[in-house]
Order: sequence, then structure tokens, then C-alpha cells
Amino acid sequence: MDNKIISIENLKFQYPNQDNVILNDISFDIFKGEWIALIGHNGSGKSTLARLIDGLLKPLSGEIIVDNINLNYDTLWDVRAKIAMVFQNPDNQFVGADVMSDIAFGLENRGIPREEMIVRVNEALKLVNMEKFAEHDPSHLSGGQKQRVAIASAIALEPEIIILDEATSMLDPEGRIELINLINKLRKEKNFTVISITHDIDEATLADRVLVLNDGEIITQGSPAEVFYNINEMNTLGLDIPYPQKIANELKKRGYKVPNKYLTRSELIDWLCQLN
Amino acid sequence: MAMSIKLNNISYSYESDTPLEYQALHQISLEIDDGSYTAIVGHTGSGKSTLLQHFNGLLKPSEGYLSVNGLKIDKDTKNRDLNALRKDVGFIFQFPESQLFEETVIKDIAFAPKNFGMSDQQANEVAKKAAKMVGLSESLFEKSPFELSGGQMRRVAIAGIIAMQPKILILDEPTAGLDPIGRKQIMDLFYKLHQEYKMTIILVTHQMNDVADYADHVIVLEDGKKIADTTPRELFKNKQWIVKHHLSLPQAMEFAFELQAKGINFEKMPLTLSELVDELEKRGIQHE
Repeated sequence: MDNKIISIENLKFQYPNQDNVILNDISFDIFKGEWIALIGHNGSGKSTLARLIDGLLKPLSGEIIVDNINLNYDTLWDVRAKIAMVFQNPDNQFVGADVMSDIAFGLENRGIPREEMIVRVNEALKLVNMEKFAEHDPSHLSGGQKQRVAIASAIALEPEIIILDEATSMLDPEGRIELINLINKLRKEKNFTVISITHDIDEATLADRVLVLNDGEIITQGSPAEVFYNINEMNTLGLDIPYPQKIANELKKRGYKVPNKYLTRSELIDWLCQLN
Repeated sequence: MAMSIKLNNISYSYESDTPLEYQALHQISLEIDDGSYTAIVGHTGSGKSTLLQHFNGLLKPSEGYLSVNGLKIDKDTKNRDLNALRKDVGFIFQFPESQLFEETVIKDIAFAPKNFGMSDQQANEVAKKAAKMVGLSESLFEKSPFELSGGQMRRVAIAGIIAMQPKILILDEPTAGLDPIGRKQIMDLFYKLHQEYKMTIILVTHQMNDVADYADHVIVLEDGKKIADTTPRELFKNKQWIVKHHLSLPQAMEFAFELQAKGINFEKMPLTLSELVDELEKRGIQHE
């Protein structure tokens, strides 16, 4: 786990002509093959951070190193070749007239030979269960189907790093779990790294490591259990917490005595079962 | 006047008469009562958004007909006959903030009322009122909507719809992408519009917790067909049916079923967190 794929040092960002600092002196490392969940409320700087890593925005100061390449104007395209980004609203990134050519677009851009392109497009469509829609106009798909296509486009690129920016927010719960499991499985097979920006707490609990951004600073990070314990202690953050914790909090609020630690689902169930 | 919606055997196909013809809805009949809060659930691609777009005539059925507020809509209905309807039925799409365009927040909110014939002054007044209803502070009125955060932009877009004083509010996954606090605020706002202003709400969602917390009526679609039309409590009671149709339970109920499997009995299966904790209270937990 000790080879760094992304290294962020003293990163600062603010938009031109605006006073508020979006990211304030952030430093952290991400290791090859890791699944990172990046959480924080709207406006905390999550999407900005993702865009900085992909070189879509330029930092005010600080360094971003991706797979040993220092990100700057000259290395921009080398860095981007390693990253696939999936945005929240797929409408913003569709270019093809049909689903198939939309996925092919990214591959064409990277000069993948046609024969291989066809194989990869079909494979990616099959993985996300959208092969039936290969010839459909992407704009006629439902929100969740569009998100599947956007994820297929990222998978087809076979990147080193996939950044998901709320990329499953319009999927039904089952479809969401299915896609998350799929990306996770591919990650293990192909050893790529995933950074997932999410409000879905159940998804975040599956990550190797959770990073919490608040007002442009990383205020806590660690395993999901550690982080959710901390978040619960800092309940002013307004972040979601896992359901068992909500039950425990509600019981506490009503004046009952509950164990004073982070309880996983099965721990809470066991605790409730041993009463009376 | 009652604003009920009645669908009579409607079907809808995209790209009709082309090789890509795709039937999204199959013979759907249903009724939505005036003043109700109806949730429409179903998988990605089950036809939810297609169905919604019939309620204000954005799409017209390929077969069958519907009536909204007594106005009959079928495949031959002319768009000009739908103007009055479009004022009465407010539609909030996924990512409504992508429709913002004006220079200032208040101008954006006032745009639709003006478009429907109000004077500048009148439109300004209803815009201010709508902005307050959605919790936008006055200090934001003269700002560009594009300077605001995602949650605030969404409020502006919602205020723009509410300013038309619709009787029916159609919401297509209105909280996608908002953080939990923003989500709750927006959902509570819709509930308030429902309770205080008696708006009929139709909500498309994947969040079964929202169905349990807010709706009094739920419709389930699968592959373009209606497979359930009932109350949330009745729907979620039948766990096998939910599993069979690959749906999920509200978290409270799921947790209760897990406890039940471990031998804990419930007098009433809880739909919401507070009902769940009510039941747990009976289990002799010690007070602090």
C-alpha cells in the first residue's frame, strides 16, 4: 500500500475575484489501489479538489503529484491520461449521437486503435448492463441510465485513477450498489485507484479510507468506523451518519443509556437483543 | 376547484415509427387525488420520468388519455390548449438549477410569472414571496444566481416554479446531489407547501425513507407498467414482494425486519426512525 499514486502538498485554491478560500492548505496522499470516499457538505470544496487533481482548475499554490508526475501546464495531458472523471450530471459530458459513439469518443481522443476500441466499448456497456441501449440517443435515457453510460465511458478508458463525483446519485439503490460493487471488483482486478465524492453514507462505509472536507480543510480522515465516530461527535458538521448511529442518537435524546462508542449495525442489533 | 389527475390506459413510445421505437409506458391507469402526496418509485428506466411528463402535457400519450383538472389530454391535444394547465402544474426537473439564466436571483424567480402575464411589479412581489417560502434570504436577491452554492441555486429554481402558484407540484428527484442537510431542508419545504398551501405533490424518488416519511400514496412502476398503487405502510409491509421486485425498504423497516429475524417482536412494523425508536423504547432500555 505504500506506493503513492496521488500526493497533494499545501494545496490552496480560490476563484479569481472572490474572497473566500475554497481549499486552504490541504495535504494528503492517496495510495495505489485505494478506495477513497471524499465527503463533506455542499460547498466544502470536494468537487474543486477533484477538478484540481484532473488539472481542470489551477491551484493558487501547492503541489499535486500524480503517479510521480508533478502536475503543471506541461504535464497536464500526461496526468489527464491517467485519470477518468465521472461528473454528477452526465448531460454535461455527453457528446455522441448514440451511446456507443459517446463511449468511443474518449477512446478516440486517446488514440486507441479502432479494433480495440470496439472491444472496449462493448465490454464496458455489458459491464454496466446497458448493451441493449448501444444505439440509443443518450439524451433519451433516464437519469440513472445516463449515469451508467458515463461510468462505462470511464471504465473503457482503463485509467489508473477513477474520480466519481456523485456519479451514482440518480440510480436506484439496487443499481447503485451493483455499480459500486462492479467498480470495486474492477479496481481489485486492474488495481486502479478510486476517489469517490459522495453523500451516500452507505457507500462511504465501504471505502478503505474516508476523508472529510469542511470549509476547505480536511477535518478528519481514517477508516469509516473512526471517521463516523468523529463525525457523530462533531454533529455540528451537518453530515449524514450511518443509520445505527441515528438510532442510538435518538435513544440517547430520549434519555436512554446506550453504549458510548461507534456501533456497527450488527453491534447495535446484538446490544438491542441482549436487553430483557 | 379540485385538481385531480386521472390516467386512463395510457401508453407511450419514444421515437415512434422508427427502428428505435421504444415503448416506455404500457397501459397505465391511475388516479391522484387533490391534496395528496404521491410518491412514484421504480428502477432506473422504469418509466417514472416519462410518466411525470404526461401530467403537464410535456408528453402526450401515444394511446389512451388522461385528464388533469378536468382537461382531457390525448395524442391529438394541441399545445395551445395546455397553457392554463402548465401554470397550474409546476414541474421541478432533475438539476433544476441548470435552467437558471437571469442576472439576479429575483429576476430569475420573476421570469415565469411575467411570462404568464403579470406586471413587473406584481411579478416582483410574488417572486419575493416565493423566495421567502423557500428560505432564501433577502441579501441574496440582487446577486447573480451563478454565484450561489448548489443548494441555494436549487432553491432559486424551486422558487421560480412556486412563484407561479401552481396547484400541483411535480418533483423529479429534486434532491439529487444535495448534501443531507440541504436534502432535508428541501424535502421539509415541499412538505410544508403540501401541508400549509395544500399543494398536491407528486414525487419521483429512489429514497424509500422519503416515501415513508412524507407520502400518503405510492405508485410502483416496473418496465413501464404499474405494479403497485397503495399506501406506503401497505407497500412496505410485504417484504417478499419488495425483494422480488428489487426494491428496498425504508431504513427503519429494514432494521426492524433484521431485529425480528433475531426474535424481537414488533406490535407495529415501524416506517420511520421515530416509530422505530417508539417500538424500541418498549424493550426496557435503561434510562441514564
